Amino acid sequence: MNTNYSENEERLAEFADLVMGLERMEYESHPSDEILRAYVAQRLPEGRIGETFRSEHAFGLHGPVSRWTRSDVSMHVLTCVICQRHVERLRASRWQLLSSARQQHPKEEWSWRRRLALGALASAAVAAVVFALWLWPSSTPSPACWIEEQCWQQVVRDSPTKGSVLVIYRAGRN
Amino acid sequence: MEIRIELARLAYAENILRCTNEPPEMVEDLLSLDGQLEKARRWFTFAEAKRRFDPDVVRGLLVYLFSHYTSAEFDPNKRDALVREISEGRVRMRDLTIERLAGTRLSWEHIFRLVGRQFNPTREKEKIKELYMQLYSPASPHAEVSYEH
Repeated sequence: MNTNYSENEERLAEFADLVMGLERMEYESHPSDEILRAYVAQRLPEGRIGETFRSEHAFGLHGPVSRWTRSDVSMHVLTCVICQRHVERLRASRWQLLSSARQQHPKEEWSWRRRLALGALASAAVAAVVFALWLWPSSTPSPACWIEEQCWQQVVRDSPTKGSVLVIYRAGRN
Repeated sequence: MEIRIELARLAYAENILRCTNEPPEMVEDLLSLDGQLEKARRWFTFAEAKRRFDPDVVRGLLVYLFSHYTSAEFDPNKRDALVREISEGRVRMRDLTIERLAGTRLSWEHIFRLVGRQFNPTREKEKIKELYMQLYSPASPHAEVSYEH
């Protein structure tokens, strides 16, 4: 049985009509450069379809939109040639920035290793200090309580609610 | 108005892909305002399929659908950029939008990479078609649909 589905000829043609036939649209307003940058960087909030699409201002068809969600921008750009070009440019420049950042990766990796080594060293030092403190006596030893010495006192008290209660007092030290 | 509702349905489909879709009972009226109730229900079937079957596989089908049919024009540059990101594992399905996928014509191999495993697209498609019949065919008028995703 062939299970290499990568070569599958399935085209999902039965569902094609669900997404086909979108037309370019003329918008009165467009998302700002800042909004488009946030969209490309995937920093726009998700929105509820019921909230945004009920609005007369959905996608800027009728005036400016006060709050663009990710889907609003996606649908706008999908049908707006002007914004498509803008998004294309933003993606290209973002890609260049990310690529140049990746070229500096070996340097970053070295500093990352150094940071890890320093972190391990610091952790070891902290552990050594904690261990030393644990070994160190916490306070001066109190004098031993000799068997012959009366260092506690036992009293039986009568309580009206609880009956006889045994109370042990430790003798005070001078 | 028709265009706006068409876009609203697509936005809903996009939210199914990103797992941020609302329960159908909250949006059914809106998404069928232009009289295209059947279209809205077909999207609801995808939402329900995601709940009943393997959600990532259903999302994979949506990625293929958006990638191939949303735009009539093939954009090789856009495709190359997206394929590179998929190959390097720098993009996940929750990062995608219909606009990002439109015109990219991704192969099943790319979809499998996004999903994280292979599956049989034809079998999964048939399961969704069966589910639609089960949920909305006249023979099952009281079919119960759970709208959680």
